[in-house]
Amino acid sequence: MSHGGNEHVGGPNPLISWLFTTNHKNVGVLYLVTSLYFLVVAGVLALTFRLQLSEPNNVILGPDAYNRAMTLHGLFMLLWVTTPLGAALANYFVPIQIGAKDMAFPRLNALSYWLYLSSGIVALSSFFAPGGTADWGWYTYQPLASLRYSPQIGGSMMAFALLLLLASTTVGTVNFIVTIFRLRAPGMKILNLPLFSLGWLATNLILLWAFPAFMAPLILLVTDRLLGTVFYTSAEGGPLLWAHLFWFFGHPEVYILLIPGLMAVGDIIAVSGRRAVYAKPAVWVALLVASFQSWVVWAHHMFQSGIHTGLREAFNITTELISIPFAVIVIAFLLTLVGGRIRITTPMLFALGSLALFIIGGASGVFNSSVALNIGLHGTFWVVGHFHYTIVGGGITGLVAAIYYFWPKMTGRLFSETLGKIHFVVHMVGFNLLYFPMHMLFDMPRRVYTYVVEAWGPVNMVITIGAFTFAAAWALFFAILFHSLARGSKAPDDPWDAAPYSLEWNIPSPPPEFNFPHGIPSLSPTGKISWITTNGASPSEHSHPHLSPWPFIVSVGTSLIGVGLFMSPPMTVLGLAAFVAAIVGWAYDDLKDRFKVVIEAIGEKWPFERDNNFSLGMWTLVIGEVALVGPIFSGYVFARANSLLTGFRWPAPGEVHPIELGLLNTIILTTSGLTATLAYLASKKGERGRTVLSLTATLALGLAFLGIKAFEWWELHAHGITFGTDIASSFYYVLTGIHASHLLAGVLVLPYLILKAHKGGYDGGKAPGIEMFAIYWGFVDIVWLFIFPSFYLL
Amino acid sequence: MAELGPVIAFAVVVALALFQASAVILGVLDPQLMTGLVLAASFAQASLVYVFMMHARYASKGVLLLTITALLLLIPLFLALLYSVELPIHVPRSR
Repeated sequence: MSHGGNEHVGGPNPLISWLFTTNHKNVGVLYLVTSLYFLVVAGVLALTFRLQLSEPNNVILGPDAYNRAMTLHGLFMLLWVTTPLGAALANYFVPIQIGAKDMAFPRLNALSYWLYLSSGIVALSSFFAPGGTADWGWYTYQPLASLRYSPQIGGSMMAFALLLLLASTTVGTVNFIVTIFRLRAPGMKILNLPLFSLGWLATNLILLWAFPAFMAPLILLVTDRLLGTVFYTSAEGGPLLWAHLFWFFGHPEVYILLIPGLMAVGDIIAVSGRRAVYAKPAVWVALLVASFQSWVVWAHHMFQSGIHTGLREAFNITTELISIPFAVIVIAFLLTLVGGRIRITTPMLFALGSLALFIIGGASGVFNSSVALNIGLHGTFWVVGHFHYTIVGGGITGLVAAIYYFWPKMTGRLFSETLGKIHFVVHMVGFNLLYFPMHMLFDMPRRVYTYVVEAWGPVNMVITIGAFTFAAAWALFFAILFHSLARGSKAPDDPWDAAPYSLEWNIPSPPPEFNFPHGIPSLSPTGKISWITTNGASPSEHSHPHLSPWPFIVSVGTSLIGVGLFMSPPMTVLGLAAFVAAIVGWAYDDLKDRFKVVIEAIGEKWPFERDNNFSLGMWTLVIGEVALVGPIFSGYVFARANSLLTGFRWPAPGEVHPIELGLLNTIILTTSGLTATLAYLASKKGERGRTVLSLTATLALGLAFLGIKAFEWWELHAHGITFGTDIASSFYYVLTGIHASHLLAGVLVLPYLILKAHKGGYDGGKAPGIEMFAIYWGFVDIVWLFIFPSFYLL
Repeated sequence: MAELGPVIAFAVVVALALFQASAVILGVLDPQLMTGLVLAASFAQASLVYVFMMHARYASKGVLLLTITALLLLIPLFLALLYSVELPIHVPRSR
């Protein structure tokens, strides 16, 4: 596979060029290969437990092995396969489709990938940990996942791996949002974007809050397991807290999995039908509405948990309502076909197949939204059938269509249409044999490793045959791709006649390093593409090799830390050393201005014209973090309200945490917020001395805050109040700990900013680093302004 | 003067913190009223920091829209958790 990203390096060591690449296309390929590898791993696990369930009383897998296989299959397919598979294609094509030469932050893009791989390595390594990996189901049942019931360290490794994965995704999300909003070509309005990019934007607007929202309960889980807090084992928090926080993330995640594939299907239908997308503005509005609605449906996963009847009624209605925007999208796609001169190609077959499967999955979802039906169907194979039709049928099958569609552009090679069509038939037969009969098992409980009811045997056997047929379809898919790489004929630049539809079909196959050899793309109001020619490529395009070793080395560090923390302490030390070295090296590169990002000054930036890429990046990050701290604060209120029922006495103001110390820290932190602001304002004026002075004051105040906080923790421990003393201490330690770690990160960045300011790095009146820091520091201030009353005053 | 806004905001935030602490220490207010005032003061402080120290006043409307969306998304979770408190099925009423 040839990827323009390596043209400058190529040469003697292609391995290094892949490891250190920051080119979005190469990163996309890395995502693609890795997510497909994880798909094979998770798929093989599925085959093992399908074999186990093929007949009653089977003994191929014991209960523990079954639970582990099921847990990893679910977690991997959801988080390490489907989401990154969309990210793979998005990495490759979204910058091209919007008319950009690369992502806004290429090194962060590489970091996202390497952290993703690192998290996968840690997760898979948990298999080999003593006691095996997590066996508590992909939903992570509480308190089953607590240390008391699941003491194996592999479980803790899995939780750590998930945190790494969420960090990776959050970094990637920020990058995509800035890229799509700020790097669009001239004339490229939001509605000019192809559906795949539109869908990826909507996906990232969900991701921005969904993954930090998942990080919240995960942090509580990790501290429960590693530090002994009692979030999920106390009567005031407990399983219901996990259920709410998990599903608050979990249902938006469904749309994260679905939308990229579904929107790619829309593009393929339009191109193959040779028609513009019907009612595209309505599709975009429906996407936005569905994205917002995805946040108010989660409790339909909890109808059987005994939650308030009013809540169940409310979520019944909101869940039924979310079918409306998706109905709009499906109808728009179908109407796109009306009057079209349809070409039945392999991508088009998969697109139509995906749409059909999604309709079935969506229709069965309406049944699940009803409280009455849900109570009967919940926990049975009906639900397994439903969500596989939605996610595998609508999401993954759509992405298979997208891979076929984009393949000639990515590789410069055509694939065999005949084999592709055979693949389609095997895929659809296998899929429906596998998942449709599950609806007939509406009385068979899921999450059981075996069963005794003979009547379920034949249907389960059909399902297992379907599973192996579906696996054969995937094997055929990989064979077709390899065959194309090895023997495929050369692809033209525009094999689907899609040049008027989207930018990627107007450039060579595969695209060159900076994507657009003809100049800067520009769209007229009617959507006509033209090229703004420059005097050749900018100098940086010729000198900049698109390489940085630091993202890769960070990943090596986090992998070693993740595995070593649980299995080999020396490995952790090595990992920490690699991590610190990478961060220092990264900062040194910045200080010397060694890595230049190629960004065109002209283009569409609505609605973020007043920001710059860096400030928007930081804004996006901290706004995303609202979904991290918000759910924990909500959990705090929940636990505190519960304590009124359970009789647990919450400490009175001043009883445990001295109000004076809290007030002192509030004043210190607020003052540091002011000095950070003054540093930013001074840097804008190019006042080097005042900038350095204000930053130094911020550093001193930050250290003072941390010192007082450390003293408070020390005193609490000295008085026997530890992480696990009660729910109040658990929340105090974790919330102040999260806050302090944020503060510490800022304090660690400050010496770099001071050094750069001192050396005149911000003399020109532009100081994106300090601006980012001021935004970040303000957010840290705000979080403290809620911690102070929560624990010291109320 | 660009510094005036942040300096005034800083002074107000500190004054509100002093008010919060003194209200609790003195304990002269009705507990419910005090809780309401303390929380209202926190939201006011957060707004001032957001506008003047995070420079939201210079940011685009898109940033404001994202911020509001983030806060709106939390409301259903907060309400659902509160509505879940009265849940005797899972939560024993006494230890």
